[in-house]
Amino acid sequence: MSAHSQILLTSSEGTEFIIDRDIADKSMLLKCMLEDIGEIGQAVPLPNVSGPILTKVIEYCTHHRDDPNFLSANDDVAAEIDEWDLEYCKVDQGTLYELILAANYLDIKPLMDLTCKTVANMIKAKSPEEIRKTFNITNDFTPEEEDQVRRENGKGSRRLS
Amino acid sequence: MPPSSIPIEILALIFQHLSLQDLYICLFVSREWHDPAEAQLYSDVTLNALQKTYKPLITALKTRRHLLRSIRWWFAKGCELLESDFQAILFDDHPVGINRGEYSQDPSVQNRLQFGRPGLREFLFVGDGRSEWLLELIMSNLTTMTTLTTLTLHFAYGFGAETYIVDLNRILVTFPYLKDLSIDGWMHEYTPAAAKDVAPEAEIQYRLESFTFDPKLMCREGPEAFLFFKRLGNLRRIQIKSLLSPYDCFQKNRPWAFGRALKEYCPKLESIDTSGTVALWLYDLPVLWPSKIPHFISLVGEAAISAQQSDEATDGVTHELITIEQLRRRLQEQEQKELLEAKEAVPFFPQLKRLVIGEDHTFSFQDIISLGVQAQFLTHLEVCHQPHRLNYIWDMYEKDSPTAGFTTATTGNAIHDALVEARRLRKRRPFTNRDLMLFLQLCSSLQYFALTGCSITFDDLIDSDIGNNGSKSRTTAVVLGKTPQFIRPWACEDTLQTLKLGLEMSDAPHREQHALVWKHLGRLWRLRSLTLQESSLIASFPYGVEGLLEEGMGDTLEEIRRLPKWWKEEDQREMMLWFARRCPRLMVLGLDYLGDAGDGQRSSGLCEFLEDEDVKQCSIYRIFVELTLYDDGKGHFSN
Repeated sequence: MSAHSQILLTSSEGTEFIIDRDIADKSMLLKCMLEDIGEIGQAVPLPNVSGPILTKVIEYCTHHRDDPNFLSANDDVAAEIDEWDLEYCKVDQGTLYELILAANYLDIKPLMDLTCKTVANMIKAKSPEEIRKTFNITNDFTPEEEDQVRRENGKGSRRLS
Repeated sequence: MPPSSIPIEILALIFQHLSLQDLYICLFVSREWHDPAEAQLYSDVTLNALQKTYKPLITALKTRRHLLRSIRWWFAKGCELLESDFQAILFDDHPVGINRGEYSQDPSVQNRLQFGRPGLREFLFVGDGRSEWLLELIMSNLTTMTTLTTLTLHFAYGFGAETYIVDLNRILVTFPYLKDLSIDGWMHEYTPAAAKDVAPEAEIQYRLESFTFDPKLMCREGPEAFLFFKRLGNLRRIQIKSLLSPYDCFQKNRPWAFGRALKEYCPKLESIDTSGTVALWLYDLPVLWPSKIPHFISLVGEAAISAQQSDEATDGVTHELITIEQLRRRLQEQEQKELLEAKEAVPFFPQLKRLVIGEDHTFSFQDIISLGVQAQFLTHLEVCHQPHRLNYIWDMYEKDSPTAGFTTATTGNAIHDALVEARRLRKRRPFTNRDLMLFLQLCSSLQYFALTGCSITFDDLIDSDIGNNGSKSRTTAVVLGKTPQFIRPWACEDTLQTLKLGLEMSDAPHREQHALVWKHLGRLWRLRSLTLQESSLIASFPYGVEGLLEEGMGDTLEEIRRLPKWWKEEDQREMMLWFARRCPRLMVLGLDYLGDAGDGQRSSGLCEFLEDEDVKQCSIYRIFVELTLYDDGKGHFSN
C-alpha cells in the first residue's frame, strides 16, 4: 500500500473529494478504518461533515502534511498559535463550531486543539456579561440562582490551586 | 448577522483550555454553560490543608464528588486533619472506624463505598508523620477507587511517626488500571516477601508503565527476591529516588541481581531516572577471556585472593605471573577499547532511550561501556557528576552481595570459578568527564544532553590520539607550536537540541583554543537551547565566538543561558547585538554573573538595551543576569 494512493470521500451533501492517503492518515478515524479494512476503492461517506467544512479540514491537513510533530504540535497549553493557524481560524463562529465538531468526529487532535483554543481565547479574561455578548447568549439565571451558584462555589474556588 | 451560539456538546471540549478563573466566570453565563463549566472546574483539584481556600473547597466538593477526576491532597505539619472531610470526599459520608474494625455491614453503605468514585483517575497524597491513621484509612478504602490510573503516595517525615509498610502486590491487585505508581518519601518500607504472594497461575501482567520507588525495594534477599517484577512486563519508566546516605543503603543492596531481574522481566524499559545513591548496575560485561589476558588462568586464583585481602598484597605476586596492578591496567586498557568499539557488553535494557543520573550516583565507567552498545538509541542523557564526592563508595559496590541470587556460587570447577572471579576483577571505577566526552562520539540520536555538577576542561575535549583518528576530515583542529590539538566531533551533531555543559578553560589560555571550542559547539547546528553554566569559555570576537553560529545554529537557537559574561562592559552591547541580529528565534539570553555583588546593579542597563531601535525588531523578550551560585535569575523583563 503506497503512501501516494488516493482516497475518495463524500461529504454530507454527496460531494466527492479525492485526497492523498497521507492526508487522510492525519485523521485517526480514517487511518484506523483504512488500516482495518484496507482501501476498498469505494468512497468513504462522511455524513456528519459538510462540503465546505471538509474543504477547510483538508486545507489544514495539507498544510501540516509534512509536520513531524503533528500529533504533539498543540500539546503545550501555553504555546502561541502560529501565524498560519491563526489566519486559518479567522472564520465566522458557526464555521468554527462546525470545524470543532468535524475535527472531533474525524479525530484530528491538533485541529481540535487549535479550534477549541481559538474559542477559549474568546472567553478568556471576560466578565459573564461580555461572554454573553460575544456568544449571543441570554442570561437565564434568576438573581436567586446566581446567588446560589456564588454561594455553592465560594469565593475560594476562584483560586483552586 | 447575530453570532450563533456554541453547540452544547463542544462546550466541554473548549472548557479544557480555560484557566480556573475563567471557568469560574463561565459558571455565571447561563444555565446551559453552568454544568459543563462546573464539571471542568471540579475535575482536577488541588487540596492544600494550609490554604485558605481549603475549607470552602471541601464544602463545595462534598456535593460534587462525581465530578472529580484528579485530586492532589497535601497535608502538612500544623494543619488540621479532618477524617470526616476525607471520608466525605473520597469514600463515603459516614466515617468508617478503621482501627476498631467497624466496617459497616449495611449493604447500602457498602454499595456507596464501592461505587463512590467511579471516575477518579489520579490520586496524589502527601502526608506527614501524624497522618499515619490517614494512610491506613486510604489503604483500607482504596478499593473504592479502582479506576485509578495514577497513584502517588508520599510518606513524609514526622515526629513520632512509624514506618508504613507498603504492600505493592496489594496495590497492583486493587487497581487493575494503574499505569503510574509513585511511592516516595522517608517513612515507608516494602512488604518483605513479595515472592511467596505470586501464585504460580498468576502469570498475568499488570498494566503498570511507570514506577517510582526507593532503593529499599532492592534490598531483598534470596534468589526469588525480585519475582515481583515478573508481573511488570509493561514497565517503561522507572524512577529510583534515594534519600538515604550511601552508608545506610549499600550493605543490603543487590545492584547486579536487581539489574538482572529488570532485564529479564521488564524488556520494554526505556527510561531510567535515578537520584541519590542508587546501586543499580546496567551491564553484564563479558568475562575477559584468557586469550585477552596472558597468564590469566594461572593468575586469577591468586589475584582474587590478593584482591580480597588488600591492595598491598600485590608484593607477594612474583615469578612469571603479572602483578595485580598490571592486570588491572590491562583490564583498564581493554575496557577503554571496549567503550569505543561499543560491542562487548550485553546491555541490560535494550529499549533504553532516556537516562537520568542524579546527584551522588554510583554509575561506573563499566555502565558507560555497556550503554555504548545502545548509545545510538539514546535520546536523552542527563548526568549530575561530582567526581570528588564519589571516591569512598567504589569499594562498597565492587561486588554484589554474596547472597545475591544471580551471583554464581563456587562450584568446585576450577575454570568456572576462575571466570566468576574474573568478572569480579573487573573493578568498577568512576567514569571521568573525558569518558563521557568519548561516549558522546557514539550517541548519534541524542536530543538532550546535560552535564551538571562539574565542568569539562579543554583537555577532556581534545583527542590526544591523533594517529588513531579515522575521521580526520570531520575533525576540527588547532595547531599551537608543534602539537596539533583536535576535538573529535560528537555523533549527535545532527540531532542535539538542548545542551547543558560547564566548560572550564583554565588549562587552555590561548585564543585559538577558545575558538576551537566555539567552533566545536557550532557544529551542533540544530541546537535550540544552550546553557554554559560555570564556564570560563570567553565569549568575545577575539576568542572566536563567531564559530558558534558558523554552521547555521542561529536559525534554530531560541535560548542561551549562563553565557559567560567575561567580556568588557563596552563589548557587552556589541555582543548582544550580534546575537540578536543573527538568531531570529532567540528569545532568552541569560548572562552568567561572575562578578561581585555590585555588578548585579549594572544589569539594569540591559533593559535600556532592549529599548534600542536596532533590537526592537528581534524576538528577544528577556535578557537577564543569572547568579552563579544560587541559580535564581535576576529577571529583567521587557517587551
